Amino acid sequence: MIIGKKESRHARGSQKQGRRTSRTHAGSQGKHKAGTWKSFWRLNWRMGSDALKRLALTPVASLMTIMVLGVALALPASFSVMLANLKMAAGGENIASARVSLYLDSGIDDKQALRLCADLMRDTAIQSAVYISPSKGLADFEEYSGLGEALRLLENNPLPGVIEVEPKDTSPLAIDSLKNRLKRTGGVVEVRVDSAWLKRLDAMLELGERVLIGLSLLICAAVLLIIGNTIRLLVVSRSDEIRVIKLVGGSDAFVILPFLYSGLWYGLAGGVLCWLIISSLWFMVSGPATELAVLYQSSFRPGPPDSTTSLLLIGGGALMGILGAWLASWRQLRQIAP
Amino acid sequence: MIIFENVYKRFPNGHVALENINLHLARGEMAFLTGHSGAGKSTLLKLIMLMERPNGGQVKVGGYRLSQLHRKQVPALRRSVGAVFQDHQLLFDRSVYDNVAIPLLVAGFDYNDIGRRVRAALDMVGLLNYEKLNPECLSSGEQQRVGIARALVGRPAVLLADEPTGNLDPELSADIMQRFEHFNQAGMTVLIASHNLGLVQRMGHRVITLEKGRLISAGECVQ
Repeated sequence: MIIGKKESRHARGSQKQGRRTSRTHAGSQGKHKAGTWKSFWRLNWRMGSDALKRLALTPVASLMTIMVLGVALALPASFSVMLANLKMAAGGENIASARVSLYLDSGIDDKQALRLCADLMRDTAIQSAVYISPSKGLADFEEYSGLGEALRLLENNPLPGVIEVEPKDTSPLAIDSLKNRLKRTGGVVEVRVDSAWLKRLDAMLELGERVLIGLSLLICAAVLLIIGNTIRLLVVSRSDEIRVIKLVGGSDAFVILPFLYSGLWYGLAGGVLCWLIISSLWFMVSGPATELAVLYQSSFRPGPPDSTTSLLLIGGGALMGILGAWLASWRQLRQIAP
Repeated sequence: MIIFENVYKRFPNGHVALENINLHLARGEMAFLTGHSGAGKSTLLKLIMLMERPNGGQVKVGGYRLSQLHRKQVPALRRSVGAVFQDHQLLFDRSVYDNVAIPLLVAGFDYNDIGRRVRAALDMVGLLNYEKLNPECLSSGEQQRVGIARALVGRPAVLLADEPTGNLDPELSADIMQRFEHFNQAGMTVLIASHNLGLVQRMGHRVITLEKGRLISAGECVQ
């Protein structure tokens, strides 16, 4: 049918009418969308459970993917937990190297030393200060060195009085500053602190943190690729279904939803498996680590992943699953046309 | 309802599928699109569904100007147009009920409403007792009726059918055509592509003829 001016006007009228009808049609659909939130949640529930069922349909392949994800996530997570425990041990209350020893002048008697000790306790940078008298020092030395007989040959006690100071801030910079300040205290002959060891430990922890960040980024990229590849294959295997859904009016957002849920389940299961691996590792090493700490007279006890870490592991896994699925499927789904 | 103005469609391989097509299908009209294989019938239907976009001219469907339609508006257009295909386009990993429910699911209908509408659509095509079956268990004619139920379930303003009786025997073909006629009587605009001239002429509706991508006859507009 060739359309002239008259027909064209008619066509425009028809189009307006069509638009009205189309709106009416849309309006009638709107009425049927009563309880939109209820429908939304039911749709999501259905999509989520369908995605879970699809995972269960291929148990071996799904389990393999989940295990790869769990092990991959466990690498930086276990390193992070280890680093956190190491930091706790380094900053623990009984770490000898964090102590500053003040050797007192031989002319200072016990009373004066205790007064100095009390003065130091009032310093805001000092956690505690303990006075070890020359006689107590000698007794301790006899006990630990096994040189009791030899020491009895000495005419005088050669050991000076010592005040052991535990600083609040154990960072090398803070300890250096405290050391310089304590040097100027009256009655103090020498101040000793193994700051080199502390600096080395601090540098190692800093290095560990940097390695952890790098490793985490690499593993995150690997996890995204693993999930992305799995979802990409899912999209390919369901391309006919996607075409049909688009043909009957399914939007890109509707089409992507089941794949996001698949990503979520993979990531969540990977996160849970990662948590299980970390907890098992902690269970394995906590005994020997505690024994080692006891040998070093440390009250440090290695802890399992706390609730924040556990939530981060599982929630982070789930989020990475969704992100990986979205990255892999968004462009691919847009390219599938009916 | 459906307007083609100087529509031109050429595929990337250089083949011209449609050339200067001007056509007007009024609301509530029923028409047949005929022509030999390769005449451009399917391409014309695909342009209405926006499965293809024209290289020139304007296509208008209902309130939509298709050349200006944004990608995000395409699903809404497709929801207002029901389509039946020769190869049925059914999903064989789900039941008849689930196949018919897809257009309502994507449109965000309430689940109770979906159940009611799907059963009504299946009843309309005589397949109410088959809702739990897999489409694979059905004959070609029954699969075609599932496709029709899926096209109807969203109560679209326009119903398109591409060779809906292509693989069916004459008795079943007549039955399917009668159903289309019923839908048209209920106010739906129906456009059916078919090369079965005998059947088309027996129906007594407007016949649009295409040949090598050109409109030979636009038939008589019947309202």
